Amino acid sequence: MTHLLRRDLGVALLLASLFASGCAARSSAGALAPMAAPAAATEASLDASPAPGAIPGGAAQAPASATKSAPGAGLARPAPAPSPGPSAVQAKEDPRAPKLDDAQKPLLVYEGGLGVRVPKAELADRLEKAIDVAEAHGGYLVSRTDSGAQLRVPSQRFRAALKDLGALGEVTRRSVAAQDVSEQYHDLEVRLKNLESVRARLEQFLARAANVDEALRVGKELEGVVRQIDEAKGRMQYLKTRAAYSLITLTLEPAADKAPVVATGDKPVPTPPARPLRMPVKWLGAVGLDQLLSLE
Amino acid sequence: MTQRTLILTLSLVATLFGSGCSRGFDIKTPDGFAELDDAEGYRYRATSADGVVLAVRREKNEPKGSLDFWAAAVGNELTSRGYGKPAVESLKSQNGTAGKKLAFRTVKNGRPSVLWVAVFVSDDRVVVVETGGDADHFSQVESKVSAALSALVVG
Repeated sequence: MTHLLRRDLGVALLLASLFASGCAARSSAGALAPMAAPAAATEASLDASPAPGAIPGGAAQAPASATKSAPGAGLARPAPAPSPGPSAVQAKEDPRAPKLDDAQKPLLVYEGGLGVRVPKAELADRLEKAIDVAEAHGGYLVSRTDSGAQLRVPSQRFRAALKDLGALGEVTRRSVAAQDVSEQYHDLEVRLKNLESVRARLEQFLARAANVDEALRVGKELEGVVRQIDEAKGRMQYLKTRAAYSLITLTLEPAADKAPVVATGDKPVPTPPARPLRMPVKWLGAVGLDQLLSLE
Repeated sequence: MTQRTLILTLSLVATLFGSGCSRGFDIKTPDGFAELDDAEGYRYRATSADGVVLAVRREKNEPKGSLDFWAAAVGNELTSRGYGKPAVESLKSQNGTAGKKLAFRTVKNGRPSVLWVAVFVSDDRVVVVETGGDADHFSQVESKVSAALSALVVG
């Protein structure tokens, strides 16, 4: 009896400590439900185990095999999003860049906006060409309207794609914005490690459960942790995809019809009055009401 | 020349003058009109009591022109003097001479007025019939004037 009480107390204390000390990874991943392992265990696991999945580097790990339906699906970890530029350049290491390991490279999400003026009659055709450009760069169509489209292209091809899209007409507007999601991603990584650690411990407790009631309690906790692990993984995958594929919002503006060429003089030249006719016939001048009605 | 021949010749001349062919045309004065004697520039002129006047000129076809030429010349002359563009209508004299009627609407002394000019052209003559007056009065005698034009004989 004493043995059983001691065992229940041990399980309760362990669970309490898990809940009480699990806030370490919650700071920037607040969207996820609180769940953490003891801080000591977390730090130990971070030091001991490598980051999950090899960190692919540069253009070499561009999602070439990604399909339109599942872009970036095969990524184990996002490529450290390069600054927008031609991929050929990005594939090489910039000797001026600081030496960072892949885990330290920033994870950037690029979004670009492009306004292009095109002939009104060719608007639909140019829009089709824009989609072709995106596909040629390994990208895909996200959405389209009558006068524009949202396209995603591999981040390594972002700058080249922008340039090619601008060549479709006269560029009237261009914007590029980068969002650094590195911290957000890192927090998710830490949180995932903690959750996996908690899951491992709970699995151990579950294996040692002495009765059904204890097994049910541990199992319920384990279910919650697994759900949070899935959520963290999903969020990380989302960030990876956003970083791997940059969004370009293209707006095609129909060019106004050319105005007719008009003389730029101060005033239009008025049509001169008709040349007065003076037939060499005297009686013609007498025809009319003046003489006709003159009865005096 | 015998006496008989002389009498026949004089009779023929008298007949020609009496029938009006000496003027190069023959026109019947409409009912309600009075023929005026002192028609300067006209070979014939008659007026109604309300001042609607009917008059005829006969001029040489010099420069020699067709009906279209003279009709256009008259029309251009009057248009250039502010009569506006005429309504043109083809017509024929009683004896089959082709003519054109140019109908103008204008303002004379502040009153709406009407002027018709009918032009008939023969080989060597141009016969011009003018009629017009105050629009209100003209409308009252318009049918009589039209009848006089239809009955015109161009010599």
